[in-house]
Amino acid sequence: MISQSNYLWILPLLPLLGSAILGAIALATSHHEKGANEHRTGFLAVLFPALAFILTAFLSLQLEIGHSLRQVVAPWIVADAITVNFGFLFDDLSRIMLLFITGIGSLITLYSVGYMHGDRGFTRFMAYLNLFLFSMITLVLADNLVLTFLGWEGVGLCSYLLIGFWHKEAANGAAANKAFLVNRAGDLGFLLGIFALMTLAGPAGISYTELREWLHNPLNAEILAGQGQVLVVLAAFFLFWGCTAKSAQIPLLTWLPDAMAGPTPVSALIHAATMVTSGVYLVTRMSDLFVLSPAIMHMIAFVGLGTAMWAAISGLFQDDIKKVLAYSTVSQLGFMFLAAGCGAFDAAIFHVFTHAFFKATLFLGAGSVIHALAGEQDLRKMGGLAKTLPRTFLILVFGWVSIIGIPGTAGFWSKDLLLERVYNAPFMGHTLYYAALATAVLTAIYMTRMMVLAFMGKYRGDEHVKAHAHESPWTMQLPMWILAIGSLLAGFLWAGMIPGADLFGRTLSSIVGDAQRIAVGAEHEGPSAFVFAVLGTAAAVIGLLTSFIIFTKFVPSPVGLPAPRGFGKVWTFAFDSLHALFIKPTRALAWVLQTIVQSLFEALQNAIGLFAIQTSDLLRKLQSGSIRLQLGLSVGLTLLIAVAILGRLF
Amino acid sequence: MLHLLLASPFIAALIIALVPAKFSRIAFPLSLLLGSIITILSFIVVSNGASSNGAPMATEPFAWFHIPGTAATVQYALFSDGLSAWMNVLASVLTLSALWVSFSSVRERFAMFAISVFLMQGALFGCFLASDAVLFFLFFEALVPPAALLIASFGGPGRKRAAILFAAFTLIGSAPMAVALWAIATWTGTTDGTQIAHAVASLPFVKVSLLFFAFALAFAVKTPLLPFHGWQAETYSEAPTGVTAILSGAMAKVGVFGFLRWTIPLFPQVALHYALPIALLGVATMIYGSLVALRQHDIKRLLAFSSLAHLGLAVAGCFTLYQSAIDGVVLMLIAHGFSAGAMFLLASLPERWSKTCNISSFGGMAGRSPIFAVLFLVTCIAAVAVPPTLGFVGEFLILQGIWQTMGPEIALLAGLGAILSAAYTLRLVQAMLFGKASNEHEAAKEISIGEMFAIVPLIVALFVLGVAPSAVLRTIDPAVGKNPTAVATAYPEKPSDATLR
Repeated sequence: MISQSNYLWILPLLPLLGSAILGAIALATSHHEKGANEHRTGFLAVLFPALAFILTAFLSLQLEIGHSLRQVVAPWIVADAITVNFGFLFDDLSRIMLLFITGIGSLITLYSVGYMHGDRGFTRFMAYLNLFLFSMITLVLADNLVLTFLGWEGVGLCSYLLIGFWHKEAANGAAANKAFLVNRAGDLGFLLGIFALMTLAGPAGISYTELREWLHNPLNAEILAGQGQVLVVLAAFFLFWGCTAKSAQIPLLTWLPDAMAGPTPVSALIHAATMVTSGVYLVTRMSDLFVLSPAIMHMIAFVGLGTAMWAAISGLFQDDIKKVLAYSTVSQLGFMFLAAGCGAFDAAIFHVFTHAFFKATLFLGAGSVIHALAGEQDLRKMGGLAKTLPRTFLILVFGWVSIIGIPGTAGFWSKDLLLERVYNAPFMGHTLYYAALATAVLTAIYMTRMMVLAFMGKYRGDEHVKAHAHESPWTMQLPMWILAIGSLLAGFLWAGMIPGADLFGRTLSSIVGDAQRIAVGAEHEGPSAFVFAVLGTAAAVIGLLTSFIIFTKFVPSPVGLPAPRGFGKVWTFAFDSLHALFIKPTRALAWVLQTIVQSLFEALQNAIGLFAIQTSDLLRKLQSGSIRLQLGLSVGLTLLIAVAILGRLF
Repeated sequence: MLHLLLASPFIAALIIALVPAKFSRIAFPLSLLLGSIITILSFIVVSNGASSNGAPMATEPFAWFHIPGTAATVQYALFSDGLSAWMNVLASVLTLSALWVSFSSVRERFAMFAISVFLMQGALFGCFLASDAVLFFLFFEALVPPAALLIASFGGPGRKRAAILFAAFTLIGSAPMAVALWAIATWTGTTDGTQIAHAVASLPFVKVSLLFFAFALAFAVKTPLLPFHGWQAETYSEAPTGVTAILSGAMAKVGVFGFLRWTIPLFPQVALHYALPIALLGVATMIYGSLVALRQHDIKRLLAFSSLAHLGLAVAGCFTLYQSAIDGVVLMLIAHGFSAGAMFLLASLPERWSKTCNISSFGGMAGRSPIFAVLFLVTCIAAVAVPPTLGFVGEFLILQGIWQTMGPEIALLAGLGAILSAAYTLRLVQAMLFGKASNEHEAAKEISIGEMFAIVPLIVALFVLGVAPSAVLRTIDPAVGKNPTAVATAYPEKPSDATLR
């Protein structure tokens, strides 16, 4: 059921308005000694996302499950046979995404008000955050691929601006550039995917609802089985290519750990909870297309699993608290793609949802630690902070038990569901399951390592810093507590073993139900859910204990940079070397073109120039030459010569 | 109306020239006033097209002179559809902005500067409005003297060489076109743009091909395309930056305009036959320009190669001969006109402040000149075609057309250009705005209110037109017009798919 709505455009407009107002304030005060009043700008910064959240919640409560709202605001691009609209679609998938994007977005903006206190760029930061939320809302609320692409590039741009927020450090700028360029490489894939769909389905290829109808229309079955097959594979391949960049999957993943150069609230909001999950959103949104190409589905599953394992192992080597969490995010995104590739789109989105809570909690908690220790991010210089920062410790414990999957927490329910679905997948399900379970053990190991190094044992850093350590202000505490409680309880929206607790799954079934039936085929009896729960819990406990035993004894000494050392360095950054395979030849080619080819052209033009100068000097002797006259003469002469030659020829 | 529009820059030049030296101080406000009036005129022509849903305007032909030895009579006749009208807007807006921003660098000799700029603008209008091939050619050639004069009198240290190089390249490039025009007049007895296409259709393919390439060469030099780009980097970096904004923003568009208005509609069969190689040349130009731009150390040279890359893609879009891609080309021309114009004008500010164009001598401008930095950054974002700027809409339509007509591989190749353009633009942003401020220019300067008035409208236009590209598309696409056949027969505006296949 699709009904018309006249209010959807307000949703993205709210944060855009906020961004415009804050941006104007930032510009107007850019030459003042101090920035604008933080109380007022901070209030404005939280106001607009919060209003967007309230509106989303209101619409969601009004709308029954299975129903959706649609609004075409105005045509955007109308050229020949192509029509792209500014159109919005508020259905079961976008409502879930919007609820946590605007909700967590508002909370993290509030947290930033405390975190960024006293920074000269306070207002600018808030303007960027609002702009980001506008782009993110557009991304998930758009009713067509091109408008989603607008949001897609928009979030990439905001990510660029926020990673390089402290722009005086050249390293931050380099990280920002890398993020933008890698994402641009992905965006090309997205665009080509759109083109493939436009070729396949014509004008219907752009709009989600029309494409869905087109794919399910029996009249098109022949095209899909025949010449359209290649285009389906191409479209799915290119769109997934786009996802690998945005969601930091193999091979386009190296930008995300570098992106930790941005302020911590940015890492929590953009590089953990929302933007990086938009790849999973896109695959789910296009699930009707993806299931038509089993080869690409398998590719997604393997890329997801590979990324999950690689990032989990990399996480073991990190000594920077934010880098641990960054690799953890990459790894969890891998889990989501593994599920999507196995046809469990709803489980993937559920993990996106719970992950948003526990990873935001972890990042904000880490931010609180960094804030307390005056910017210290090196785990080797922490230790024993449980006593100094008891509240922050408790908050991080909530996030930690959730991510490793202690029964009852949000992370437990979603990961459990996800692993069960992977096991039951028709293609190599068992193998994928055991590999994923092993990765879950690794997850528990590196996360426990982080907790032990930061909070257990003795303090290893500068005593001077510890003396000033303090808990955060309420603006930071409140969002952390809400998110921490969320990471404990959010899982009960779809607790597999509790009858009736499946609101989340029911909500999504109208979107992904058909696709999942195609991908998974008939339901068949697997082991009972209890077995998976026990195995999952065992993985968490084994990892936890192993890590606890090892890292309470072996504490790395705080020497040198917190980047991984030796083999770990090579291993964790292997994909940078892979990128170099593309970047170096490009640089070399640019060098060749500039120093050899361009020089040749220039030599040639010098010859011409010399000739022209000689001629004009000659002319000047003949005429009292102003340049205008010379040029007039040369035009006339060329014409004359040309006419003479042609006259001979014809 | 069209007569008035065409005459207005020449009248403006005359008025400025008549101002006595005693009152030279009023030359600047006067030229701004005249420039604004011309801009308003050009907007009136656009709104005329918009209100009539893209129906073109034309004047009564007026027999001008007889070409000796042929049956052809050159007519003074003007024609304006959405494409012409928007190109005129581009030329007039950029002229106005360039006059405004250049005043601080030119000062005493401003009157002479303004006269030449207005003459160049008049020639641009002539190119965009002429409906007779010979008339077009005369204006096409008339572009060169004022431009060369501006470069030679107001340019950088290598200005004389650059002026001669520019003149030599463009004049030599267009010489074959003169021959081709003469041949057309001889063979068909007409030089009227509406009749040539029909008249040459009966000629043997080889002859038409020769004509086609004679036209194409002139436009390939003007645009420029590889390997005829030798004049560009040197001219753009030596010319006074305000003039470069016009050269790259408006004059280079005459090249692509020539392909769209003359080369393709006049010789559609030949265009179809050679479409793929020429489009590939366009893509190659794009990749080449982007790669070389990566290695430039001078802002203006970097922007010159960036222009090369953008217009390479535009030419590739023309030769897809695909309706929506050609619509995309028009959008891209406008987008690049505004963004390149704004970039060059913005670049002229730090150039004036610190007397250098070397990228590595800047840095940290985001902290020192925050408003300038924001404008520069926003312009760069528009230049790399991030949606919803106009550049994105153009690129999207062109790349889609390339995918449709030439296949995924070429679209992928052209798409690589989009990544490379981000690479060199971000490098520029990084070096200019971010990092530590260099010590070479101690006093932080900021863009003045007047300069903001001149530049901000260009940037705003990129966003407004990007959100509402239909403002342009409605006036150029005969498919959405009320009476498409009337447009097609009145003037061979664009090859429609039906006539080509």
